Amino acid sequence: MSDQAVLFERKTAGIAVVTLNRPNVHNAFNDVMIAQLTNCLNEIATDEKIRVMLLQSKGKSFSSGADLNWMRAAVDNSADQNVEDAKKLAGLFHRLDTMPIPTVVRVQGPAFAGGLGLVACCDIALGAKGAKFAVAEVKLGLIPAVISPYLAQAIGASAARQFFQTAEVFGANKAKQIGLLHEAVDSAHLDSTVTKVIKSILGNAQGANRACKKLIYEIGSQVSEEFRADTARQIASIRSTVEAQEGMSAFFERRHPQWVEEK
Amino acid sequence: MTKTIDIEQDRRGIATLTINRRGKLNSFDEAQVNLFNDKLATLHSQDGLRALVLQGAGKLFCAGADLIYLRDKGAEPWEKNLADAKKYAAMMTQLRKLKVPVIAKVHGGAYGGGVGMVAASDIVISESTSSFAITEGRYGFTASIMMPYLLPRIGTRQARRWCLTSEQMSAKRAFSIGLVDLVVDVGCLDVALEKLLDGLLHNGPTSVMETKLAMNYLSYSIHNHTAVKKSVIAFAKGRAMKSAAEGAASFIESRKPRWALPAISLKEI
Amino acid sequence: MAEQEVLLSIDARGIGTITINRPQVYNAYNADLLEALGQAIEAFVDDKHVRIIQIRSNGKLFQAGADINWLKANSSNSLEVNRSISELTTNTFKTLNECSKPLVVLVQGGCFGGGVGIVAAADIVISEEGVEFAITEVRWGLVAGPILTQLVSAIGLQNTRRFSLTAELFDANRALEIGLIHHVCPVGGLDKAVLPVFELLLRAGPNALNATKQLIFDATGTSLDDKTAHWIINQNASQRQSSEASEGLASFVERRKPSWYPRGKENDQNY
Repeated sequence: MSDQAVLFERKTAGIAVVTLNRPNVHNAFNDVMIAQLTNCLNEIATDEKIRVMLLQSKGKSFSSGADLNWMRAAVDNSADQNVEDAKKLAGLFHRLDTMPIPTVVRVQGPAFAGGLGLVACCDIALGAKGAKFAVAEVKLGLIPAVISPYLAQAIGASAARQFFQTAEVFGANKAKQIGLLHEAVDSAHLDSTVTKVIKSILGNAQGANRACKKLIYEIGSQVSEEFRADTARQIASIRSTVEAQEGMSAFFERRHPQWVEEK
Repeated sequence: MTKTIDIEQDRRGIATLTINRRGKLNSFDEAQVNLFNDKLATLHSQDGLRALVLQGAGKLFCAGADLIYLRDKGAEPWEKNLADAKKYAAMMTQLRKLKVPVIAKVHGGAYGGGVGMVAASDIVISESTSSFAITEGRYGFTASIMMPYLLPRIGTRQARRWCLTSEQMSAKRAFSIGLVDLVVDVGCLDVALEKLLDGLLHNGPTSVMETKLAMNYLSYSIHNHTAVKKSVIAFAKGRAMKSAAEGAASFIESRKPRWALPAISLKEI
Repeated sequence: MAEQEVLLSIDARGIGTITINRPQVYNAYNADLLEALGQAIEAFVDDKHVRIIQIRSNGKLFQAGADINWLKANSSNSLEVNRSISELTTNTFKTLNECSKPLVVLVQGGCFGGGVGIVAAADIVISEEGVEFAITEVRWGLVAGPILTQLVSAIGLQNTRRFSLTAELFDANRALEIGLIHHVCPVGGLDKAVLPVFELLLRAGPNALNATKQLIFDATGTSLDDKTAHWIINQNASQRQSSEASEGLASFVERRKPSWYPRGKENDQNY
């Protein structure tokens, strides 16, 4: 059981709890986790009895995003395989974003890169004050491709222009100010905040919430299918470039990549 | 009989529309919807108008649609239900397309469709003690008509939370998510409004109207007729759902609706 | 010899600097300045040595928007001339907003009208504390059309709606809250405050950064399409020629109330 990358439990009152379970690698996602999480979300989406979903993770980090070992290895795959892999990652975010029921995410610790994408795809994001965030991709020569549709809509163009390009680390209060988090509370109060929000959701009629979420998506989503599909192609192509391979190698070797001038 | 909508206009061209259905929390039923639409159409064609102030009489700004009216319309045949839904939507569209700036002056609270009125206004001033909630889901209805105005105002990120939870928010929170533009201390609404109006009166009347036109042109959902259409259909469908009848009944009988479960403890989650 | 409207330099790190240089008129823009600004951006985008572009200005005030004398001179011109001016303005702001390299803007003193458009077109903006901003066009009887698209993108439709209808002043802290700017620094502290921003941007993979900026445009729909641009240009040009614009500009220069401001307000019993 504990070998599973993703845990799924049905709780009382139609609450589904999904837990990322790779704490030793900061809940980074590789192909196994992507597949398990996608399957789990599909199951929840088709279960009429489930009224709300909570996404959380084990350990100190919420999620550090895509597993760099897995990303780096993509260069060894065939071009087709590389794109197929990237499509699965893109599909995961789309699946989460379009869940028919309200989704709540509990962000107890750092969320970086793709981890931020998971947060942005949930309806309500509740975080601990100590949590840190970064759209870290460009530092590694990568781009925040597949998460960009969701993250940019959640935080707006102004914050996206800053944080996508500087890759700087920001705190939970800033995350709340730009709209990534809905609440930033002391760790001690995180669970009670989550419970309160879930109770509020359960106070609403299920059909009403499903219809409302669908309407918000239909009217409010500003991202075309075409662009979303293209982001998978973009990440597949960038991660094979010399620059990105150098960026990831530098990360593993704990040195600056070549494009940074030594002081 | 007192008028349920009052309009006054001063010599500067500032009109004030007061929603005055006190016993009913200034909520909207069929007659009130029709009256509101007529009044706005008259205002729009009036020369010399510079701004409209929207306010509620009594204890609060507006509690949205009358639940009995919603339920009864939902029980009617689809075509009738839909035709009425279009009239409800026209209130928001007319506010948004009124040629001059609309300023909502909120005291007490705005709930459900009252939040829609707020969202469709150009500038919103609120007293610090006002509260806001998008309560449709709580009563088994679907927040819908407000979407073309709410989404550009607070973004989908905030809409997803506040619509799906029906939680109440303070004026301060409403300000931080962009639902409200100005929050003032209790008793200071009129002073703040006067300051705002005086500023507006310094600006070129045509350039202000043209700027409002440009803003509407640039809004991704206002001129997108499918957005308004979709919201109308969702509204009509929503009030025809079984949950709407149960929600209205729970309101009349002052009890919790069927779907509201007994308290859940932390452990269970 | 005429002063140059913008000064250009490139340093060893690959930072291209555009300095707006009309301090005698608070760096207000006329056609020459707009053209020079657009050309400078295009030149830096084409220059492979430039990795980051920054815009700053000389003098006490960052930018006062359009040069009022230039506006006045043109309000009596033909619709054709006004159309070409509206087109130049709209296109220059589009060039700034859609610049493919990271664009950093440093703001001191004050920033009004079109100056707010320059700020909204940037990726990262640092302002001195106490700086005041205002979208002043309606006060002059004009419409802020050419800058509205990037304003909506930067501060949201709602804040643009409010501040472009009221023309009211707001300060750097409010600008930070609504997302118009990203950092506030002490007066005189711009040079120091921008260093960590350059540091971060230089740390990013250069190709990744280019691709990411494009990604942001695609994800946020920030780009101005031809149909919208056309609508904005037409509206802007006809409003420039209106008697309202003449009166607005004249009243501003003469420091008096415009004719449309109600008279005898103190006698009004309603208020």
